[in-house]
Amino acid sequence: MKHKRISLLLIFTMLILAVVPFASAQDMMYNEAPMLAEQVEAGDLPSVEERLPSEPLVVEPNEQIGVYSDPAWSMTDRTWNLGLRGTGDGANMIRHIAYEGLVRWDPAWTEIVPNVAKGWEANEDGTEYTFFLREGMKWSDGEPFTANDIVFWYEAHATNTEVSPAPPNWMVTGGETGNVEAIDDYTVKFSFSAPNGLFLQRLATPDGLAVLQYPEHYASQFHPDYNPDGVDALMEEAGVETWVDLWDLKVHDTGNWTTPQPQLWAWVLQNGYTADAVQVTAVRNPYYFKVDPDGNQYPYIDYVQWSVGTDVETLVLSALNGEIDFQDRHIAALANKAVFFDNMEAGDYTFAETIPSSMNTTTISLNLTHKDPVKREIFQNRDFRIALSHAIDRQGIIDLIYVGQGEPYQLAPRPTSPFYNEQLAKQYTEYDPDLANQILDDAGFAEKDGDGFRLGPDGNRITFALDVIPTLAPEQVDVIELVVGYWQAVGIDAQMNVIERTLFYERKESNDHEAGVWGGDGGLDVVLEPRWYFPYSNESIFAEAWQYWYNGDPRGEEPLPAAQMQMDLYNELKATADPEAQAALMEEILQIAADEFWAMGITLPAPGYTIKKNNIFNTPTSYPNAWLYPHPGPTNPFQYYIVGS
Amino acid sequence: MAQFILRRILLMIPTLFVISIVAFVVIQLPPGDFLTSYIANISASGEQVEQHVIDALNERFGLDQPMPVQYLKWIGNIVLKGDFGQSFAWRVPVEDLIWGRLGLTLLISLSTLIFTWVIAFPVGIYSAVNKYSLGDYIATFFGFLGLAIPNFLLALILMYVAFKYFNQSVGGLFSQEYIDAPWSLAKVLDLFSHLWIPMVILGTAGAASLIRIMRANLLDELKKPYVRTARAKGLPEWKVILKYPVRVALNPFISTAGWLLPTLVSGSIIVATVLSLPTTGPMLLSALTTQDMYLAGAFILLLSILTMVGTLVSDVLLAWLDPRIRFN
Repeated sequence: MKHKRISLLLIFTMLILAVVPFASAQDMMYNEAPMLAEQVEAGDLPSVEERLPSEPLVVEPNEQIGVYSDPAWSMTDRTWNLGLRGTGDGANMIRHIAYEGLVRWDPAWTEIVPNVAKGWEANEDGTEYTFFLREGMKWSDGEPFTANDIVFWYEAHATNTEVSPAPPNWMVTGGETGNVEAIDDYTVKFSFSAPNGLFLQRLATPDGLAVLQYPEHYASQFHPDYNPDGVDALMEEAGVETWVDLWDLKVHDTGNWTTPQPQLWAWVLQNGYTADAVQVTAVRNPYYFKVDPDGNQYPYIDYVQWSVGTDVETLVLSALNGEIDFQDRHIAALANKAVFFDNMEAGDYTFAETIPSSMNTTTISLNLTHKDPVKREIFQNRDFRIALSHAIDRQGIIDLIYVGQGEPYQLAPRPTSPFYNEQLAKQYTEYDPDLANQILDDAGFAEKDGDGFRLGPDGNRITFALDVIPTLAPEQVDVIELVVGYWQAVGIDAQMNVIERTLFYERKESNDHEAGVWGGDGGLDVVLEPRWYFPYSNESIFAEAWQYWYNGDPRGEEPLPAAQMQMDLYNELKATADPEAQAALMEEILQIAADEFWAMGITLPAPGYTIKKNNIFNTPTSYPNAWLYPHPGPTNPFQYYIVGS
Repeated sequence: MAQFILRRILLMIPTLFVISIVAFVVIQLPPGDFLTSYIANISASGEQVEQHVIDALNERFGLDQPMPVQYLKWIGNIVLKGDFGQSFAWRVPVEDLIWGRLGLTLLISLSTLIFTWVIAFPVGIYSAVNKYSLGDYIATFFGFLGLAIPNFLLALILMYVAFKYFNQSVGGLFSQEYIDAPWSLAKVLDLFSHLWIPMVILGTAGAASLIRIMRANLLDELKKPYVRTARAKGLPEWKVILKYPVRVALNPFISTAGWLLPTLVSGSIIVATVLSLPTTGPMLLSALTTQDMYLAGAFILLLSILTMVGTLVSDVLLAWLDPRIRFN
């Protein structure tokens, strides 16, 4: 009798097992790339049905269903060719192949869509997020990917104080680190002691990629908690002294690309991005979990390859030669546009448009928390800043330096952003030196010395240096040279201080800078990158001491009430899960920014461009250029295709 | 002689020690450290690193310790374990990085050297012997031209010409299909088809100055009475010139030959960067700009050792070549 029960159960299970794959196969017939079909035929690879998860992610292609690379084509045509800089260019990989998080941005950057997670649930107050993974999903080496891999990231890496002295800040709410647990193999829950309102957004940015970078079956061998006996030998072999170095070398965080490892990406590295690498190649992942509406497994293109150029100009030449398929990074400078344009026909490429997320070419921050109490008093005088802003001929700068492209703009969300605030964007941008003089006179700076420069409250000439970095955006130096001239014309003795960026960072770090010049980050990614709207991070160089206060750094000083108000609002925003309530809070923060006018901008950057070869398709014609939307990653590179020969 | 060499070698040790201190301090003189430049670099391309990552790296690299402590750790590991430390940027031992690139660097430097000498000696001798002839003027013209054009500019122009008129990109040492291929005859041939470009670019300036030096030295010698005597005794002209005056004229070459050793490693930094050559030059440059201090320090130590060894070698060679020096 007992036997019979077991066998009945067995039959029942087998029935289910038989029916389930059959059902999904009925729903959809899957196709695979010829390159993989060859391997399946040779018996080196399981069939595509076995490789795909039971519910692959179906992604609509950008324009049409593409064609697979044909093994008969030349290697160049089977490859998405890119250029990589000699050192420190790991972000290039993140942008092109590694943007695979639990969730992702949609190509238009308007919402968050499922990716590795097929769905999620969040509780009302934003303290619990449950993600549902795909059954049967596999790493690129064919090993199963489960919720345990995410827990492994949390336990072995994120909360291991040897490798991570502090956990990622988006895992921390109310001073406590959140918790990650596997409910079952395909369900994982993140829970926090206090609401974490921006959690999903942060997961969709490059910050969230780390969660899926730690395949337990591979990475655990390098961790003494999991492989106490074997780690020493592996350290010896790699020539490193500590297990932390070994971990760093063998397991990807997003800053290190020396060793290929199992991944979930559309293409996986064949060789590492090491000091010797002259080119870095990635090959299609046979286990990639996405298909097009016809059931063709992505990606369409067989290989991704970067040639490594120590000098950026070498990359520009390659692009001119038509050796780069779709890229803007490093090469698409304004200065190169004319030569790229002239050479379009010979190089067989055209342009796609990028919309910068930056909202300003040049931001000028007077250090409101400068050590010198006199300077601080002058800089904190809002009328002083307003007068300086009116003294700048922005249209003149646009015509002279930006070949007529762009419009006068302050530090404000871009016009296409839902957070656009006209007052914040346009106030005090009219060029009116008389008004500037008038305001300065009225604000108590009417007295001048023998050279015609205005005197401060201590009776000394008002003089300060604008720190500007020549290598960041070379035209900023030209802009500041003009600005200094405009300011001297209204009796303010401003000077330009051209310095290397490490010195810039050091002066900023020690709060020694009088005024700093930078770009305008946060024009589209307003909520996640509010550094110019209130003293938010160490990049808010108009008030380093205030941002220290906000971030709990002992060097902090109590900010002005308006800034404190903004900080409170932002904290409230972070603790709110409802996107509409978040938006309302952000608008309030921006309105305070408009009233306070912390720092000033010059012009709104004109759209950029991307080099696009004529035989690559499904690429976007216009897309955002940002880091939190690590372009072109969110435009779904796996569905790009090349028609070769 | 042996005693002389031994004494010189012993003297090298304190010199090296002082150099190591100076090098270490100079590398750290620019404001900030590897992390500041790393963060600045990343922020400049619109990207960000989280504070917790920065803190982790700071602790791991030991950058928060005072400089003398960092120095002692560094030099201690070198002396005691032969360990030059880890490159911050690449997170691998420094030795691996340098050795990996040394082979091709030596190849380029040596072939450039041979190219330079093959051009410079005959032309130099010719223009000295046939002073103010048409050939001398032509050689002088190109000599000055070669001296006047900076190498990297020549590289840029050559790259542009290759792109504009031949529609090919110059750069690297291999065609794309051979980069990752194992060594084979075809790969060697491919290497040589690329090698001549850096060879010519790097060789021009060197050859030009050698021609000038050779010409000037030889002209001094040719006027001397012993040359006239040799000629009067009926020696064939080639022997008159090659056997005596040229030998004497070689002295300055030999005494500077020692300086060639360090350029084998550091030479051609800018040209190699422009041409994207996988040699040590660009790596030294990026190590210095990113303040990857152990990598830069190892390079500079290596360069100092090579300079000292080179000086010693040229002293020995000179003594061997010129008996007058030997007896002093």
